[in-house]
Amino acid sequence: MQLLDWIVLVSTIAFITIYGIWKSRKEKHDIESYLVSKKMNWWTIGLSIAATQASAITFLSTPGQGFSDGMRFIQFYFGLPLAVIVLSITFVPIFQRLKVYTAYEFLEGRFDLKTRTLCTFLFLTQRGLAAGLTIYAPSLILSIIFGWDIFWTNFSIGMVVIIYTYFGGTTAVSETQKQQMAVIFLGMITAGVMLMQLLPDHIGFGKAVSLAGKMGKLNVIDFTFDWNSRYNIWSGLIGGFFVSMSYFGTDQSQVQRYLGGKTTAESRLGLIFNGFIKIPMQFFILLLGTLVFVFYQFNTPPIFFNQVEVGKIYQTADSLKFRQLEAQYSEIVSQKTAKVAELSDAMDTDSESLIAEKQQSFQEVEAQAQSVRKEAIALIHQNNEKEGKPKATDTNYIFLSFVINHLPAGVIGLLIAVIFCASMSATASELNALASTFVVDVYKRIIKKDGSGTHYLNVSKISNIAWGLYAILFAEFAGALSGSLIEAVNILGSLFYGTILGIFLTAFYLKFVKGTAVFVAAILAEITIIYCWQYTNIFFLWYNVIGCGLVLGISALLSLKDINLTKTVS
Amino acid sequence: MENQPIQEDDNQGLPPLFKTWKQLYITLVVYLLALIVLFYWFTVFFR
Repeated sequence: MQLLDWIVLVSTIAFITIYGIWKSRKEKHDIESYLVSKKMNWWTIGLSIAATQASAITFLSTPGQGFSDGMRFIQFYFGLPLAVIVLSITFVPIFQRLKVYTAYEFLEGRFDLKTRTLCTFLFLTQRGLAAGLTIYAPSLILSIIFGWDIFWTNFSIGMVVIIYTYFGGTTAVSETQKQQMAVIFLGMITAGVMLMQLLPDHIGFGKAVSLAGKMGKLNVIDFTFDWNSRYNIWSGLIGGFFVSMSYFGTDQSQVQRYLGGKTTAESRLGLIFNGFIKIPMQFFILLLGTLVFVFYQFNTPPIFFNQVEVGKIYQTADSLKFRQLEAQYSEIVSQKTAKVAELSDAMDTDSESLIAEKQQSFQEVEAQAQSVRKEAIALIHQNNEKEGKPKATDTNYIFLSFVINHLPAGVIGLLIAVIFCASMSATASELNALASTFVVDVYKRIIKKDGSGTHYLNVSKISNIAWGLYAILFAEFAGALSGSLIEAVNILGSLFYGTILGIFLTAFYLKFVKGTAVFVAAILAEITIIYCWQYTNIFFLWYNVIGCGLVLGISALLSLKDINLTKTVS
Repeated sequence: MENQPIQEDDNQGLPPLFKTWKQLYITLVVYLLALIVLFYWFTVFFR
């Protein structure tokens, strides 16, 4: 990074931090306003929800996904608009009417203390660990690409968030998220414009998109129903619906965002706003990845984008073989560039047969390139296996590698600021939610019931720091975990989300079910999910559906006696 | 705190284009369907 990049990065982060503290300075500092503002309008809530969901890995990984797998990942978000409608009709008015500060507070009134405490425990466990991974994942990628010390990268992201959430509470979180989203949008649009500038003169936007389509990257919709396929319209609508219901309806880091609405209507509109913007936003990020793919048809990409792994293989006995594969790959990419130019010319003729012929010709060379790349990746995996390390992937490195190698100074700083902003916005909501849940559902409810407002405010601030330090500490040790970190985050969420969603849906829709029945059902569901995770090959996305279904089914079965009794009495 | 029946509250606070919440929800569903149709066209057209 050059001086200009550092100036852009540091000034952006400093401005947002100072702005957050300054904007929340006039807040009356009491426990209520510190944890849940109750003053926000719909667009602040909407942007805050979007910023909480969009962690740094969204902007690092999603373009890589578009590059390597095309656009079909977008289908994962199709269940989201449907989920926000259900939440807007059901969850939001109830939470607002009861004036709760956390989602779990509602459960004590509907069921009992033990069910509330169980949900609180599941949330604190899952979100506490996830906060560490939210900091660690981008730090790892940034430290590998720039050679930064991972300890200080983790520490910097974590400490900046602790500072403004400590001083400004939930207001600072929401206010800074508006600025962070502005930086994110600006950065991604700039990257898109710069990318178009870098394509050859005869390749405009329309031609680039057409080429991406002919090269099989614009596979947005897949109607095939296949249990083994992760992304098709059915898994997107059904699985995506349950994941979104769990995440937006029962995860305090999201619930806290819309609980901050000054009216029920503002909270609802904030949620619905996300139903409208999320899919186009993800579409644009994925499209950026496919356009990076088009860019690399005219420029030679590295055989593997994670250069640290490449550096490691150079130090082994396989170095010569790997270098040969690199040379072979480079040769095939040159041939591929010629084929793409021929395909591009054929597309100008509008001759279907000629286009099909050139498309076929391109696909043959592309298959050769992929075959060589697979051989190279296999070497890297073998090398890692020998050292007892997990398989290396490069999807998360593709976009950042493009940015630092091909974009000008200043824009690089802006895009690194995007990654920092995204990481900070997600972490801030997590810390805020962890502190609120601990104070409202544990400390105030169980440990000390008769404290003053000032006492609880101080505990909230200390709790905020404590959860921040816990997240940084976990991030420091996360490197010792084996396997993919991003997958670890998703599995971690899926282990608990289904059960928690099941408890809430039981609360709302199965009115005859009482506390003990749902508590027993939740424990049994959680044991089953952990069994599935350890002893079956069921794809983790389905844990959400299974956990939720088990809680609803078992709690209803355990309550059949109560239904009969009610009927007899009536 | 009983589990109270879920009711649509008043329609205040809606954007001027909509008279009821139901209209807004239907618009979102139609929007989702339109996106799916658009994306399907996108997939087929650029194949």
